[in-house]
Amino acid sequence: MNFNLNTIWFILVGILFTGYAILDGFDLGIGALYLFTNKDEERRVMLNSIGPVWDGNEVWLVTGGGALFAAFPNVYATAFSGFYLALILLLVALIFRAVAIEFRSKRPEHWWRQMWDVSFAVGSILSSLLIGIALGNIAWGVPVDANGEFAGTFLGLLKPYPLLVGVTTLTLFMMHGAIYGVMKTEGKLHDKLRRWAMNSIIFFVICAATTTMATLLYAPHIAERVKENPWLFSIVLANMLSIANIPREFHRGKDWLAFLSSCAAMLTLMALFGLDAYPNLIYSLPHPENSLTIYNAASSHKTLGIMLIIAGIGVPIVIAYTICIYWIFRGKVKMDRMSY
Amino acid sequence: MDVLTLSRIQFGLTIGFHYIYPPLSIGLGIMLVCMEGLWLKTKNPVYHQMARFWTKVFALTFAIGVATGIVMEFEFGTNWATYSRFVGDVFGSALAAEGIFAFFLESGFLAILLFGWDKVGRKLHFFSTCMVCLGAHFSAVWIVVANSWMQTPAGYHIVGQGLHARAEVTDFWAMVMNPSTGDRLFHTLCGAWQAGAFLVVSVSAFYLLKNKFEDFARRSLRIGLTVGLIASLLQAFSGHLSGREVAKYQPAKLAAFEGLYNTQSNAPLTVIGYVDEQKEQTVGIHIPYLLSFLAHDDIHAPVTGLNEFAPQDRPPVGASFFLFSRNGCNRHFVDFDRRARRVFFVAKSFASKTLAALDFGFLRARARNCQSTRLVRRRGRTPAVDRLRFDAHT
Repeated sequence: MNFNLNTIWFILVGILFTGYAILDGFDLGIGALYLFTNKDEERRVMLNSIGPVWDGNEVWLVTGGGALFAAFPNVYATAFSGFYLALILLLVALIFRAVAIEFRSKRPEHWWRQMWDVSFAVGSILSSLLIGIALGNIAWGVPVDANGEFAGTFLGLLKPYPLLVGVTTLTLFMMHGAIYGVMKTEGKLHDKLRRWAMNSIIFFVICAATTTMATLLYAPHIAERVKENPWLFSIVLANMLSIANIPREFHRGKDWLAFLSSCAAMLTLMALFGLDAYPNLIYSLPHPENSLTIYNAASSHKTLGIMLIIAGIGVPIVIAYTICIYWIFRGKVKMDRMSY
Repeated sequence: MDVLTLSRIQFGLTIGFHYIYPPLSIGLGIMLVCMEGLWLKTKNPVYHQMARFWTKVFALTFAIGVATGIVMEFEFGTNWATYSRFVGDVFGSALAAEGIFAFFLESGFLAILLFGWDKVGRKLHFFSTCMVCLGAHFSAVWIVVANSWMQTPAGYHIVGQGLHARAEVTDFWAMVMNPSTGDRLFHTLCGAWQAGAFLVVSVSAFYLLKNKFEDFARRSLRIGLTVGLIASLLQAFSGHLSGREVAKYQPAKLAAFEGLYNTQSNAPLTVIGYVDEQKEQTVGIHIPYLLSFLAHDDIHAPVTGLNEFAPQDRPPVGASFFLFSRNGCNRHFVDFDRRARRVFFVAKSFASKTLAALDFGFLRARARNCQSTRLVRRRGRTPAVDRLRFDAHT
């Protein structure tokens, strides 16, 4: 691995999508767990726990998409036109989710709230699954022709391995969301969320173990880099330790450390994914020579350089005020007149 | 219908629907800064109430703006993949800058704006409002840069051929400050301020008509009309600048929306009329010299006609003319009046005549419409708007 501009942008785009997974991950997770309670008050607390931050979290997806467009336009073009139906489905899910959050508390009728509650939950679950399926496909490889165009079909994207990654992502987000919820709530809902968190950790570990086995058995090319560089196994270890740390922090009553562990678990997973993919952005199967890499799909060096300056100025500012905002809204959710 | 046409319709609908919301966010952002600033200055609780009320409206327009914006961004890839490959090097950097500088700023501080009333001090809250407003304006900057580059490209060269051709940046600042960026940005922002101001005006006027929340509505109306008037006057000026810029860099476009076929000096402006595309002429009422003056600041200057361009290089004439020139010279000189009326159209359906009186009464344009309404003077108040009090029973 040599540190040229292309690699730096591979890492930066990776950071943006990791930021998206960690931040929007917990609010998608809250959405996926949402229908497990049928008490209106508890649902409102869950909604308001993500209230001030969810739209800021979605901006990471917008900016990640923008960065991908700017740094690797060929990947943007191939992935977005190739995964057309999947992306439109993702959009529908995200839009229903956003509208549901804004609309559900505007009217008191039961049917009205129930309708938006279901939209919110289904939108969240579908988004999580689709994000996972997309990751799974990119890891597994998709058919790409000599012109760099996607040569597969929508149904071809729903292979068992990507579906497995999709379900794993969903359980990961549910775990992450439940832990976030534990941190933000109190009373009965707090205890409920802690139970859900423990259950989803179990589900996630089962799914992750299955995915790992499937990877080693059916897609050894994905794990090749770790096999060649044994020291990378430390990342795998760090990932397992972070997950094991979650129940421990719960036990010690340090809910926010449990949440940070969950963030660390996601960070290490994304790092592994990135390391395995590098330098490919879209791995072509069955013709690996057609793969879109950080070299044949990139913008000119001039553009990458200019954007590095833009990112160098912008990203630290973004991170600074994002931390400030999370700090201002720390602590348990209190309902007030501006709440959803 | 073929896939290309369907894709264009889909993209047109997406972008058209999306574009209702970001300008409203920009305009409402300015309004929120005014309202909260007045609250900090006067300590009058009605301004506090006003800021909180409009914050909710702002949040809704912002949320729909983001949701529809993601769709639009995705469609660059899903519908126009080859185009994305071609312009990614240039266009992408503007989009990325928009994400990093504008969207994060806007959405981050929106959290404090919406949910921070009781969590942070008044000054920090006001600072957040300013940041949200600034973020909204930044988003206009970068998207207008990208779009202006598409209209008047600069600072790039083309590498490769055929389907593999792509535009690469050679000079970033020349790309950003391409010939039309400045005028178009000014024009866009003025329009956005108008949209926000007249949204506030329409809702406040509706409350006044219903005799609800009178003090609140009257003060909102005053802020809305002040911002609206300033923005409208600036808009007339910026529209003229944009017109000159189009005449200079995109003469075919100007000729199409003015329906001008033959290059001519002392070119007339068609105020009302239609284009006969078969005979290649524009039928209607013409005002001599006006187009020359508007395009080149000189009543005798020659204006390039469509006949200078090969038929395949001409934009669709009839539709451009119809949509753009509907109001002819009115557009250029009394731009604010027309826009005001257009925004009022929605509210008019609630109480057409009374509201029209406000519109024209304020703009002092057409007194005859006031006949059906009764305007009651309030004693001791001098500003024009404050003197108008409505009686909904008329």
